[in-house]
Amino acid sequence: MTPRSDLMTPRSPGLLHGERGVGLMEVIVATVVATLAILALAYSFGTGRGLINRFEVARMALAAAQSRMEWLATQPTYAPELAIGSHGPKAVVVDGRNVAQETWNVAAYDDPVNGAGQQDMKRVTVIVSWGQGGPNERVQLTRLFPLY
Amino acid sequence: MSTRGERGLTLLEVTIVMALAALVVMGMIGFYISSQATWIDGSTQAIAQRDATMLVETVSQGVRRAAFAEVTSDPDSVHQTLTLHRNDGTTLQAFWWSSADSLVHQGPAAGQDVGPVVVSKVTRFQLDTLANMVTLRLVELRAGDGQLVRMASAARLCNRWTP
Repeated sequence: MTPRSDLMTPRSPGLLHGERGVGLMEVIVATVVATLAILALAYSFGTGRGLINRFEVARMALAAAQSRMEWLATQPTYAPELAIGSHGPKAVVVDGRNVAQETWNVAAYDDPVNGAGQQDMKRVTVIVSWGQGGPNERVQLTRLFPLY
Repeated sequence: MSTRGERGLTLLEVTIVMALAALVVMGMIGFYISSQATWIDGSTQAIAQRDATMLVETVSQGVRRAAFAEVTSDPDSVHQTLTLHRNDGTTLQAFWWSSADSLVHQGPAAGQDVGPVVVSKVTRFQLDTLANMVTLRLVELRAGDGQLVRMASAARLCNRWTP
């Protein structure tokens, strides 16, 4: 097996014809782009973790809203808690810690099946809010109850 | 090896480049480790939250199918057993905390195990019965990273009737 001559010839480690290396501007641009990419990644991780924390409260709030709705369903229709109007706010306490507050509104509702104009049901809306109570910091459940 | 006009790299240049490269690589490794820790922390937390919701929902569904409920402390007051009964008094379903694996199990009756409800460790499983409701006073699960996830809820015994 005859060795190839170009493999035997020592090659220069320096610049060859047509090569010009990497300019300072290219290095700076590449560094800035890489930094932006890393910062974006770090930001997305932080945002994801924040969302998980928010969902923890949101799940507790949803459970509290369901719990309140279940409790209201056990009450007789004439109970003061089911009177037309707003009720609450009440603190939502989990393991001795205030995590949210709940309110519920009871409004007369017209069942369209048996003709318009009759207020024959109650529409109960339970709202559990936490933090500043913004649109992303509240859960709302609605259920119809019999009027009588 | 050198061609004309080339001067190579001095030891100082090589040292500076290696130091800078080492700093960059250490920064990247630090970022990777930190990102991975954040990822694992978030994932385990999310899994524990999902399991808490699933446990509460499973117990609530069982309660809604039952007519009567009985809560007993077993083996202590923060780990309780919920036994659900039909209207005729027969046992419908049971949920209990097992000290062997720290999981909440379910079955057609206490001791007749069909397996754990969720795979996350449960540190507290406290319930109450109030009239025709069962209150899940506190369900506390431990996430894989040690953080605790707490939930509370209530469900109505919907299947009670008077013949």
